[in-house]
Amino acid sequence: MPIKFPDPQKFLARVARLKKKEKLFLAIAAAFVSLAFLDRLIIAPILSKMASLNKQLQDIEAGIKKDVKIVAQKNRIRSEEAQYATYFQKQQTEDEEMTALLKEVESLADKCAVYIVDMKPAGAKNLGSTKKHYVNVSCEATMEQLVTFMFAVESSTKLLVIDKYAISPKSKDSESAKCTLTIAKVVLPKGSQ
Amino acid sequence: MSLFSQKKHSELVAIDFTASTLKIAQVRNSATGKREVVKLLSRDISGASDEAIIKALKSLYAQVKAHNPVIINIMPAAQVISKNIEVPSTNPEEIREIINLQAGRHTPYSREEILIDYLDIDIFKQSYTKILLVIVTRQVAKRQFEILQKAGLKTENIVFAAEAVAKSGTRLFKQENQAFPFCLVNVDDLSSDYMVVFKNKILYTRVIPIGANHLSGEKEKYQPKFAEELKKSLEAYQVEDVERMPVQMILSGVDYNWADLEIILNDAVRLPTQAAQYLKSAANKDVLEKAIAAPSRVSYLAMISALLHYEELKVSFIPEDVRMRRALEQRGKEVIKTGMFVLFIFLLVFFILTANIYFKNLYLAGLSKKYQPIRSEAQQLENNFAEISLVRSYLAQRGYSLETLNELYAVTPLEIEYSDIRYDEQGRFSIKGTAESMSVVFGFVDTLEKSKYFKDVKTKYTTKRKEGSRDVTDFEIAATLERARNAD
Repeated sequence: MPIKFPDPQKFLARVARLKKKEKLFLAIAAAFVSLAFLDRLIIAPILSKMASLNKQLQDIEAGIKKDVKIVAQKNRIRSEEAQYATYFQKQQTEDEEMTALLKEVESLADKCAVYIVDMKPAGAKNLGSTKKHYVNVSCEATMEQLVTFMFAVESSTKLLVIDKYAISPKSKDSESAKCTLTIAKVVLPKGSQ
Repeated sequence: MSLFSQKKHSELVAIDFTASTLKIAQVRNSATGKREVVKLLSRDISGASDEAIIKALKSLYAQVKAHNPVIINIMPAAQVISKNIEVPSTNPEEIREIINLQAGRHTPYSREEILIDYLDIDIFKQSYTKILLVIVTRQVAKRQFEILQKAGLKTENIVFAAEAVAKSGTRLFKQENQAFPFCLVNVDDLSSDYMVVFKNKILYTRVIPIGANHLSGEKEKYQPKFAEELKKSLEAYQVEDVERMPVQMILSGVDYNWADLEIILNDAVRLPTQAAQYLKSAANKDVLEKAIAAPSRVSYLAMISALLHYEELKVSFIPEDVRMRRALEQRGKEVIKTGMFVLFIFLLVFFILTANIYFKNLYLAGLSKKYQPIRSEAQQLENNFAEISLVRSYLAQRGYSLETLNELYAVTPLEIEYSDIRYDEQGRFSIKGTAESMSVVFGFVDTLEKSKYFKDVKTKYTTKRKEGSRDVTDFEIAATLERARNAD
């Protein structure tokens, strides 16, 4: 059904016939409707856009302040970076990593006079930006040698960590101990973040 | 109240048509802002039909080169019935109501047939107002209005000629400083308007059916008759008792050799009489030169007066229906104007807000661009720092397996032998072994519990058995490593 708009002349004539109070109410109602209409159509979207811009501006300004603070710490971060540089390495394949790990563990065991009975790669696990390569080691040694070996592993420049161990005497009244270790190598590729 | 104040019109045209002559006068604001008469036109329409008048009006108006002028129609005094009456009120609304009720009594026409208006003259006895009631038949006003409408001209107003002449007469004829009223006779081609004027107000008006044509044609016959009519008019004014008697008479209107008449009138009316020009102070150079070159046989005084003082005129003979329609139109226009004004304000606000957004966007983009190098460097440094922190955290965790082993060694009593020690990354720690007695085991559990490395220490089992000749106790203890618990 088509919308019928009132004839403006007739409308004005009708308005002119209204009482003073009725005219006042009509004017107030018209003002309210206009304001509501204007608010929904123009003011609210603009104000919302302005609020969003202000928020963006605040965020950017806060970000800049933070960035300036970080840049001010540049020398300290660079020196620390140099200090820990040995723990970062170039990205290698999994096999290469594992081979290197096995070699490192074997070398440390040799140095500590620990007899390796068995050594098996136990896979790798991704932990966010880092990767852990595992190796299971079965070995025999005196407790002293074993502890020295464990210390050598934990203080290696290659970020080796002992995840698991089980120690038991090799035989009753023996000084040697059997030990099963799970050693993990944490790989932090340079520029991983 | 109108939202926008009315400004003074810059170009106006007055149209006057009597039974014999159609006249047009045009005024325009000069560079100094003063209104100047720029055109005076007339054409003889004696005995012409309305169609012929319309045609003549169109043709004459074509000579007026005006851009959207205000067109006013002059109602000659001859068409208006005027009465000096006293009304028992000083309130304009009450006065109007009273004259609306009483108007019918002053004319032979019914109330529906006439248009009325009034002019204040004076207040007396504090509660009475002397007024000049002016009445015109609706038919006359409507005819004039329709003729102009058919000629394609939109009449802004129909004004009363005598009121206009009174408004300008005081200034045009330099009577501002007079303490008494003066008579002003506007002589036209076929009739003359006799008016008593005081301080820009018309006190009394009367039409004399003798004009310049009569006075020029049969001087001997009409000059005494004219003097007699003026005398009668003065007497009639005196009878009405409107104000004090006038002290001077001014003759104006057509260009006429007034010398003879002045003598006759001085003698008959017994008032100092003088003829006066009205164009000198009102018209521009061209109009003046033309007037001097070709003396006019018609009077433009009423038209020029109405044009010069249009905004001050009070009487309006616009029919009510037209007035109502115009009021509605005006109201509509005002509503539209108000709407447009409001819209303009909204647009302005919208523009300001949009500009604000635009400039903020610009500032934002500029800021981002300017600090982009710092941002990139900071991002890089932040990544490096995160890597360093990661290494640090791994390094901090290292050695814990040995530390637990060391702690176990430190707290283990000599009465205990271990057969199995287990540790894993989830923080589970278990030990199996043999002790000399159960109390040694339980005591050991208490010791472990107190250690900062072990928590939730529990004995899984304790089993007594014989080993050779002595009793020993096998046991298994499980614990949680403190670091693992903290990590949870």
